[in-house]
Amino acid sequence: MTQTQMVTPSGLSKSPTAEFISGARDTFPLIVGAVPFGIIFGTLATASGLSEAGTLAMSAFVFAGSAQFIAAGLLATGTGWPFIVLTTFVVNLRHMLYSAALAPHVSKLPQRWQIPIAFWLTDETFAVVANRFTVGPPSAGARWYYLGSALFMYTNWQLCTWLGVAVGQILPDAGAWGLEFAMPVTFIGMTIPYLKSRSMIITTLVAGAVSLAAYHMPNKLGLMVAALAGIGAGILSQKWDMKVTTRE
Amino acid sequence: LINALRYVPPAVLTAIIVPAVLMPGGDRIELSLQNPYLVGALVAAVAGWLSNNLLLTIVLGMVAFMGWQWLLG
Repeated sequence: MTQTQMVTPSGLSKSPTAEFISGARDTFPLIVGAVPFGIIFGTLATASGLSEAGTLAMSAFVFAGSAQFIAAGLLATGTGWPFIVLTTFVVNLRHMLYSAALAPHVSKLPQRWQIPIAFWLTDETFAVVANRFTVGPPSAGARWYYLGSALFMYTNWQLCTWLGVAVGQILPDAGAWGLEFAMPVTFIGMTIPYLKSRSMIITTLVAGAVSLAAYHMPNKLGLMVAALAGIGAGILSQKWDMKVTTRE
Repeated sequence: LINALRYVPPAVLTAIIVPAVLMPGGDRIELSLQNPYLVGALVAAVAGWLSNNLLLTIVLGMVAFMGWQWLLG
């Protein structure tokens, strides 16, 4: 048990088609978690007052997962649009950090690549692609790997939203089945491979504790505060560990 | 900076997971076996830790959550 499926890019060949397929294949386990999540979004969004066309359009143009849930939830309570925009902006601030992590690998790509792959960036594609960039050999084909992962996620999200809208029409109480657990459980599976050092464990403990303490901050700002506290704690403990080792 | 970025995914993901699991109602912490989110999360964490298989982790976590919810009625 050295590496998970997610941490092992399966195809390291150079052909664009092969890279595209391995990107999609390495994303597959994460798609399984996204399927119920997309379906439940389709049912919940229409149930919370968004039109069917609006629900489908949100998945097509926003393509954001948790931010879409929050936006639909806020729309249902009649929140004004500036507040919704601000909240989803804060919830998705993490994409700025993801982008910064990927930037060294994609900064030389032409803009016609950068704009679409930035739009298609998700937690799942980030996890898979960051691993491809750091573990796999540097090659021009990595962009096709990214595209394979991103397009698989995007297509799946559209299909599942549509399916959810259809299910919502047939079974109006589908929201009670408990599919909302799909997001946390997927994220748990994504977090565990990181817990290999003391500083990483401290990061998650602090982020978790702060997320509870800061939960009631406005605009879901607690999420960002908790993440930053966790990152800070991890860096501090790493520095502390290094100091102890050099002294010994 | 690159070093700090290594901590981003686990920090952000944990900050999403913990309130979703421990405060499913959104108002108070539910630290008991009456909370199917907590049971499902514990099963998923153990499965992930032992198997290191993401797909298995998700499936077992979902089954535990739905099964526990069904048992609680």
